[in-house]
Amino acid sequence: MALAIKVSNLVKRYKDLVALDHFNLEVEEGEILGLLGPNGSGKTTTINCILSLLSYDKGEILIFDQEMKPDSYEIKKNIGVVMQNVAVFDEMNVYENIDYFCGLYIQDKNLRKQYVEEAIAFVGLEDYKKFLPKKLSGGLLRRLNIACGIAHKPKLIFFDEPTVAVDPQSRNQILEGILALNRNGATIIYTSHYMEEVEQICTRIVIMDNGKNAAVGTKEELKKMIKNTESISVEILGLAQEDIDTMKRLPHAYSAEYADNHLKINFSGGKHNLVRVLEYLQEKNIPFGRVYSELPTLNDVFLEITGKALRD
Amino acid sequence: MFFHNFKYALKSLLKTKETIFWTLIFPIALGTFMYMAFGNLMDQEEMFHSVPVAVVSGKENSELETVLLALSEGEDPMLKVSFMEEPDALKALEEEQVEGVIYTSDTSLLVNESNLNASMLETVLEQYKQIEYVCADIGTNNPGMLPEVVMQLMGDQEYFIETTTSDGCQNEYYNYFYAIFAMSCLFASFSAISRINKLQANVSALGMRRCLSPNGKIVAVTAEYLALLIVHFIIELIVLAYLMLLGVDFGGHYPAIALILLLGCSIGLSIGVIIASIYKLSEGAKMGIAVSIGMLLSVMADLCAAGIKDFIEHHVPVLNRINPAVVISDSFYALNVYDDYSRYTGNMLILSVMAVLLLGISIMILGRNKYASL
Ligand SMILES: Nc1ncnc2c1ncn2[C@@H]1O[C@H](COP(=O)(O)OP(=O)(O)OP(=O)(O)O)[C@@H](O)[C@H]1O
Ligand SMILES: [Mg+2]
Repeated sequence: MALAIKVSNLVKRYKDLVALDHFNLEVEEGEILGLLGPNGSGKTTTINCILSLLSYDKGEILIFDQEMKPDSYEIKKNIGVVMQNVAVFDEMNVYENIDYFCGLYIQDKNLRKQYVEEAIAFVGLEDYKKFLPKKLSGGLLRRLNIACGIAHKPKLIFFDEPTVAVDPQSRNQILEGILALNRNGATIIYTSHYMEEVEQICTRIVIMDNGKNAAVGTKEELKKMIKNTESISVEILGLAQEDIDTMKRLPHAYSAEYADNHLKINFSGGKHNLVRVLEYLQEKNIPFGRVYSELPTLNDVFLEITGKALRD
Repeated sequence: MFFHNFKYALKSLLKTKETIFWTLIFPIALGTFMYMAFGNLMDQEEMFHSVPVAVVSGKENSELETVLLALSEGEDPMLKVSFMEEPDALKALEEEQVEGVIYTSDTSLLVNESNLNASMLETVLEQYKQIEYVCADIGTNNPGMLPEVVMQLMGDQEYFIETTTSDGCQNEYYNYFYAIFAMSCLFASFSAISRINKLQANVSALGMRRCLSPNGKIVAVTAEYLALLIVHFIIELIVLAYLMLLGVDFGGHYPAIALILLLGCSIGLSIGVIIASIYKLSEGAKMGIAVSIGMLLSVMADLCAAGIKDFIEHHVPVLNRINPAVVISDSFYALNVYDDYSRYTGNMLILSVMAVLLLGISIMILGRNKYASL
């Protein structure tokens, strides 16, 4: 597979603070890569360096196998960016905004007109063409922001937290849109705080921490990297210490805790963990209430790899 | 690409109310206010209304007396003549009941201070003497004819107004209107700041998005600048037309006035571009600097009160040569007062050099293709 982006040993310092510390990243053409990391881990810095908005101290950045510099116009033609902050002209309406940004890439008038109409249809703003940005609701404004970034049909698109402060319905529409862009052939870099979003759309995930990549892989691969594979929780009114200790010794179990009338057992691997737990309880004639079995989330992965929660 | 940027810059500017307010509505409001305050004072004809003058009759100059009397007759007389004995006349002059004392014996004039009325009386006597000399023949042959000839040759009041004002004694109230133009040209810097901020990646999200486009920045900067210049130039012309309709007389030379306004706008815009390129400041802070610079320079050009400009002229004259507001208002003045264009041309040279220099600096700062220091 050809590489859309290759970042090697990127170092970026802000005075004494090392924002990126020999960071490496490879993005394959056609994938949706999620860049996941807590506040201040360097996601935006990475994107700004890749886009040549920001100078860096060390390292190499290749886009489509060419070095990326501020005047790499041939590369820039193929890039679309949707930033976290809405970047549109307040005094121009929806159509004019999209037309302006599209026109920076597409010279031909007829082609541009077609692209602008397609972008408007893509984000579902057909009924708002003549609206000024301030008349749009938050969700619609985000969609306009997206349309401005992608109207010229770029091959490589960056999304820096495009769903911040967006209601769940609009958020789903945005995610659907990103998937559609990807189906049409665009390679996508997506940063977010929201694990569920990354799980939902990304083919591969890079977990960043302190300017380094802490882990890379598909979500399945990432989940395999951590010890915990299943957590089982059972509601029990009263349980002897002896039983808790026995539970801990079940195959694949590595911890068992009992608190607030709930028994929680963590497993690492193994297939019939839940069955074994319930068989033991029946054998011992211990009455129980509700039973939950949880598979690990990216948050667990994140927690285990970095020692901190993804979101505060 | 240039045209695309230019078209949208024009569109945006015309839809931005702040532009219109600071450089169109504000000067028009200020101009109207000043016209209402000074309108009467500016009306030259009013000022020439019946200048009171005491006449001390000598023996043999009934022709001059006839002329003076003729000038004090009619619907809109130029003079208000009172015949007096010398002591009374001097007393009246002292008490400012009359503007001057004319002695018919030797055709001489006594005035207290040199103001517009005094110079008008002087002009009357000068003209009389010249015509008397020319008409000496007619006078000896037919003395009764002289006053009539003099009256015809001297024509009406406007003749005097012109002769009087072309001596460089120009109504000072006009300076306020010239300063209004200077101010509104400098206030063009506001819209330059707001437009240029939207071009800089390290200042606005919009600038960041535009920096990502596959075009050099020089193209975008020049397109913005040209659009700004056209819009503000037209706004200045509208202000000019409005003030003329209101009754302020700029005394012709309209192409030359347009050139002043064009160069003035260009300087205001370049100042704005340079302020905008200080990326560490917020838009509010940049506007604050622009307002302060614009106001300071205009006040130094007598926008609010007369005298400051003269004071600077006496102490640090070089400041007046490099203060664009002073140069702009002085160019209007030069056009109106001097018959030749040398002072005006000098001013235009100063403004052009300033405009080119400032524009060069701003394009150098902005047009470089570099990483934005985010
Ligand atoms: N202009 C700057 N000057 C100094 N330090 C900066 C600057 N920009 C970012 N940093 C620091 O660099 C680090 C990485 O910041 P960055 O914005 O890349 O993080 P992020 O992962 O995008 O965070 P967030 O999730 O909050 O957007 C942070 O510690 C931040 O404080
Ligand atoms: Mg960020």
